[in-house]
Amino acid sequence: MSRRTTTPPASKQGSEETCRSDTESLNEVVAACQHGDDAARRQVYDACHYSVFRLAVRIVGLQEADDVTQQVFLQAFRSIGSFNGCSRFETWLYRLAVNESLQHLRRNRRWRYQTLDWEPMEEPHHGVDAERKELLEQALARIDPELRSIFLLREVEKLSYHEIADAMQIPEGTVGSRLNRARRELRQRLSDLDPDE
Amino acid sequence: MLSNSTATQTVVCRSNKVREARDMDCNEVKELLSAYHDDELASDIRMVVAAHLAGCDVCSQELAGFGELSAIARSLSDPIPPARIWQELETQLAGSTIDGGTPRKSMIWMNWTRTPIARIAWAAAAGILISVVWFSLPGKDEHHDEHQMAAVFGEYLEQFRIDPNAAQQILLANYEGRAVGPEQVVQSVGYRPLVAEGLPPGYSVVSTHVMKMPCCTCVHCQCRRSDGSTIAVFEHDDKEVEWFGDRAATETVCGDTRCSVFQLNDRIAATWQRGSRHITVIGLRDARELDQLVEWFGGDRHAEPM
Repeated sequence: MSRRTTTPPASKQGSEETCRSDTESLNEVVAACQHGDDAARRQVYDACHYSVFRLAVRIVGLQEADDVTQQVFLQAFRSIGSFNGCSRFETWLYRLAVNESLQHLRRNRRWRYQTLDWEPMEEPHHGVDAERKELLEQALARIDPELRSIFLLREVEKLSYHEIADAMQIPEGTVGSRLNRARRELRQRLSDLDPDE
Repeated sequence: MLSNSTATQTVVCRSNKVREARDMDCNEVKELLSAYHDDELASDIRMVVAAHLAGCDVCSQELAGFGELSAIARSLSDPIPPARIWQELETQLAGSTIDGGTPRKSMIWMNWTRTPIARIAWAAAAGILISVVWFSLPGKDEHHDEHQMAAVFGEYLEQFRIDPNAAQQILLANYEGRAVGPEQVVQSVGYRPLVAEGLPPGYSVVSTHVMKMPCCTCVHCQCRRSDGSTIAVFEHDDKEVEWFGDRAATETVCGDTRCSVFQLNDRIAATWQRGSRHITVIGLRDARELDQLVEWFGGDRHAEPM
């Protein structure tokens, strides 16, 4: 599912981290899952849970991302029969992940009144850009959750505008303008957080 | 892709590239800047934007800023999902019905209780139970009505995003919903519902029901967009923001009509006054669709303050 080019730390690599980019083989596993194959269910989880968790962490925060990820897959497996293959399975799953994450924020009354508390990752960023990465995490936590979602789907998950429209259930023609807003707000937040920029 | 932009079509029809670039101003370019940055523009438009950028420091700087953001975003660390997510998921899955799967015999009852039909049955049972308790209580007042409606409507709104038809059944089960034709509606509520006059192009009525809600007798129409997705239109006597419980309302103006808008995850709901009655629509995609429906149904330009 992951389309990122960065590689996770070697110590954390393993079969569970293998993100499938082979759509055909994922489709085969999904088809097996639809026929009740328990092993296939695990394969789907292994293929996709990194991406769902990564997205959830940055929409609802690290502390809540476990629950949201669990709910996304629970919902996915319970309704996998309704996945008709019209879109990529990954896009369908991203749609569930965004819906569940935004719904989670709303349930917890953080939707309009409160910005997401920024929570550092377990592993601190390293290197010369460490500070800029942390500032971006903080800036992301301070913008509207829907704009945050759309930015992450594009920049981190590498979805096309068509796929983002599908995942967010918005017209494709509005994706660019919302990304404009997200990027401009992020730049403003970064500027506020780091006036020396 | 944004190849149908009117401004762009005007520009690309001209042969002089320098003039094309000049014809697209900064506002137009800025609107296309993300699509340019993400390589989502048609090649002809891309060329025009590129030509503008070559001679415009302001737009170029903004584009460079987008590039910096992308570079940082690409380098963000990947959080590691804890193993217990799968372990807990597996436990929950063991007791649930999976589409396409075969439920375990020992879990048949539990599985059944989680099916959509069972959920509707539970919702109906819960509604009956609430009603019984409600009518047995002395000194009941409007606050109790509002609370009960908010609870049922909360469940309805939650279900609507997953399955609008199942959501509809929750309301019908709780409020004695019955399918009606236009004439029966008039007999029941004393007016001809707005949807009976037609819907905007691209929408169609799937069903019309009359429901006896604690607040009023309400007309509920399930409507379908041309892409198969659903909106629900309610017509009722009074403004019923209570249906939305403690969801925050955003007051907005569409044309000359004041609307209360509620965020429902990735959809919105809106309610506005039209003459002596109110319209509430569930499942709108965005403000543009709200504008369209308010205009179509006609707002009340002389409505009293909401």
